[in-house]
Amino acid sequence: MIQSAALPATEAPSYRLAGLTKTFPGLTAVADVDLSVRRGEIHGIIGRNGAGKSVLMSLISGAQQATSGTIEIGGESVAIADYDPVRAHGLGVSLVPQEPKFAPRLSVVDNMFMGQPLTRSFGFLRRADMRRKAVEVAEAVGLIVDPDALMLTLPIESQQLLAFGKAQFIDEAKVILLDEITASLSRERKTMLLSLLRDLVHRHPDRSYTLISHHVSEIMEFCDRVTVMRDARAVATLDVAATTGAELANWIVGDIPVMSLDGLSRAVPEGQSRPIARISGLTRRGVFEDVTLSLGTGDVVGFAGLDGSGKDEAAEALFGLGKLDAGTFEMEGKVLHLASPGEAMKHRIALLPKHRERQAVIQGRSIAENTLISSYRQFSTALGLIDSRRARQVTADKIVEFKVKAKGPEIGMSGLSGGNKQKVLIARLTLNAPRLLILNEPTRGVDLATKPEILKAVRTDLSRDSAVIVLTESEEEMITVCDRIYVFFRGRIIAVLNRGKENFTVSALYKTIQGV
Amino acid sequence: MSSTVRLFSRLMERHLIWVLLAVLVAVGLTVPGFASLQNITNVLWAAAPLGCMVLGLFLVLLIKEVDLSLESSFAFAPAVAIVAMTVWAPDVVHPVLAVILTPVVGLLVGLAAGAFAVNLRVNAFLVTLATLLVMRGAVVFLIPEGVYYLPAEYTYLGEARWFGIPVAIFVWLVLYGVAYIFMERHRIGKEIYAIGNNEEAAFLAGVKVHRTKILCFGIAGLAAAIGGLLEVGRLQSVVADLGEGDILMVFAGTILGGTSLNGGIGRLSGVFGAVIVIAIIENLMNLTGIEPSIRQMVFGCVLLVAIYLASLQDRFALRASRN
Repeated sequence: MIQSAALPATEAPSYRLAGLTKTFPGLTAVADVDLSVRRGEIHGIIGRNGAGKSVLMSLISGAQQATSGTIEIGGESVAIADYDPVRAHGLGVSLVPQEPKFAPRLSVVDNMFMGQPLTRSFGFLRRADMRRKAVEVAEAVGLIVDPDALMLTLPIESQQLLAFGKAQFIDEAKVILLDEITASLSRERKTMLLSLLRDLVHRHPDRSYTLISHHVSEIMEFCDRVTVMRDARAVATLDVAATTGAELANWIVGDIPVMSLDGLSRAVPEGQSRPIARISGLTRRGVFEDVTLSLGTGDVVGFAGLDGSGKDEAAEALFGLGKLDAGTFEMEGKVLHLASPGEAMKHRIALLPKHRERQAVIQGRSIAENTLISSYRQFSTALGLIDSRRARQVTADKIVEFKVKAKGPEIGMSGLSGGNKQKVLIARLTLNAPRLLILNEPTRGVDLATKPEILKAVRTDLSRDSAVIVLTESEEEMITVCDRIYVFFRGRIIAVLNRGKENFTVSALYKTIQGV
Repeated sequence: MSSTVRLFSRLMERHLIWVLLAVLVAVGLTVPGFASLQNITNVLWAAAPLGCMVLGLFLVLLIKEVDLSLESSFAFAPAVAIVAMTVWAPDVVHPVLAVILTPVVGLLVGLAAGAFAVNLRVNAFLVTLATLLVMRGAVVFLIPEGVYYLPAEYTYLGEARWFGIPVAIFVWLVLYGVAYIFMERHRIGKEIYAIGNNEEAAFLAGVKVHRTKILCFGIAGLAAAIGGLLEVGRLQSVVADLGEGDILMVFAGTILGGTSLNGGIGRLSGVFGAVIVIAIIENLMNLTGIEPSIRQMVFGCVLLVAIYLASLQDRFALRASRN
């Protein structure tokens, strides 16, 4: 200990993790991670969704407590059992989260100095000084703001930059963790911020920056070293100068066996496929442009891309959500101008929304009502009253067909597991006999046993008489279930991968999505 | 879980209001004068107008909105119909037509407030606070002195009796019966619950959210107007402050009946029971001769306990759904 104290401060690592592990019931989110980040370094953390990056950050910042392992900040060991955000703050650790956590109705200056205002004697505030400082900080991160403006009047990307500015210049944190801060930034802002990081790290060699990113290209451009996470583990730490984007992508993807779904040929052979939808030049300026594709019965196609690539918006536009600036959408020969989900459903288009609990589940009601809510009209008598016997029968049939594990149709929806809820919601869609089925994240929050069941249904029953568009963050699932994958990149389809071709692999898809 | 415990938790979970009612009746039986047919019909007769307004608020709370103006619609609709019948167009508006006109006026003012709140995305609390004042002001303007001589046809539903039982009670029961069928056996009821539970999910499931919500406001106005019609008939007169301040009692009844302020949760049978509970509490206070000066305090305290018990029901239901 005496020796290490004698060392110059720059030689102790900025922070060091050893054997860090975080388990949740039934899940290990972070497993045995060793990581040592130097002072004066921009250290990238990359990995696919669910690899454990964000949980790792929350352990370092004290937002969650590690199950076992050690954390050392600036050479000082912390007791993981009572490590919390207050202690982390005291040690100079600051996390800039994905979603900035400001008080929306307070002013910029009040938010920036929240918890540590500049004061004179008796606690009176130095308002003018704080205002001046807030403007300076904003300028340093490339913003011009009125310090008295309410936080909510600023766009989210500005808030994120201010959150970084606060950590850097007001908290003067020594360990700054940036959790996907680049995700909501525009391209120019992103480059500006990352260049600023380079400059800052140069000027403050005692600090370190840890940057979580989904983008291989950003890591390659701006980081000194990068740690790759896969399945909760840190599988490699690489020197960026000595690696390539493709090599990094290989580390990220790893050796993934593609799920096998036996006998998964198309529900409708290619030759017998009947045309269903023709989409040409579909555009919402600045979001997605010139989306063109044709779909027939039995087709299962994927829309792949990073968040913000426009894939979600393009898929939702086919369900009547959001405005279109150009392009045509034809279903079975008819040109559609959809203004609402109700209209889309009349033309037999169905959407499984991306966020299940928020956008699809009707929490307080029964399985039966959740199944039937879109199609009560079909089960109504002349007076508009529900034919309860038929409704009950249909729900019971769907429960059997989709193997929903529940005691009966009258059980409350909230008692079901994620996978069973998803089955109920897919059953809901099938009741309107859709011709175009858009499934956004059909396997998110679904248990491992249910995932293949859902994917299998997509390739068999669900595509028997219709075309299916699948969006999923798992490249394996895309490769498993799709015939064609349209890859979106900054709003455009930059590639189409076809089943049977040699580039129809998880790693080729991942690289195409990343644009490397 | 033993069967007694299960029975108890089931009672607590779904039928607490009936337990409460049974307790009140048991207390009532010890009070002389309570258990007579005469008294019971009077209790229900007085409860009918409140019951109508509670039905209205029930619908609006289910879709996660609120309508404060129901107590004004309660007076405004009959006032407009009566003035039309007596002053504006006595030759055209026959008393029977005025009876029909009353709920129509209620429906229209409800639809208007609903359209304003829903389409223009203005907070319904504020919109209906304004319409509460506007309509009350209009009533004061139209009938500042009240109207004390009303044709028998207009007061029939509120005043007449069939087989010794006030017609108003039948009207109330029919209204709840129809509402029950629509809530449980019609698409619209399922859509109302869906909207209240998760508006975005309902929209993405193809429910016409705006239209349904405005309709709920309209029906609420209609129900309040029918309540007003019954009350005017019962009192055989209409005064400018008819129903003024009643909205608090309407809220008490609706929430006591297990309706959530957060939308999507509530049963018609529950609010029906709650209306009777409130009527009985009031009746018992009359019978036991609790001094009028402290009656409001007693009533408030009883409500506090009752609403606490009703809130237990939520927790029981939650626990049951977790098991």
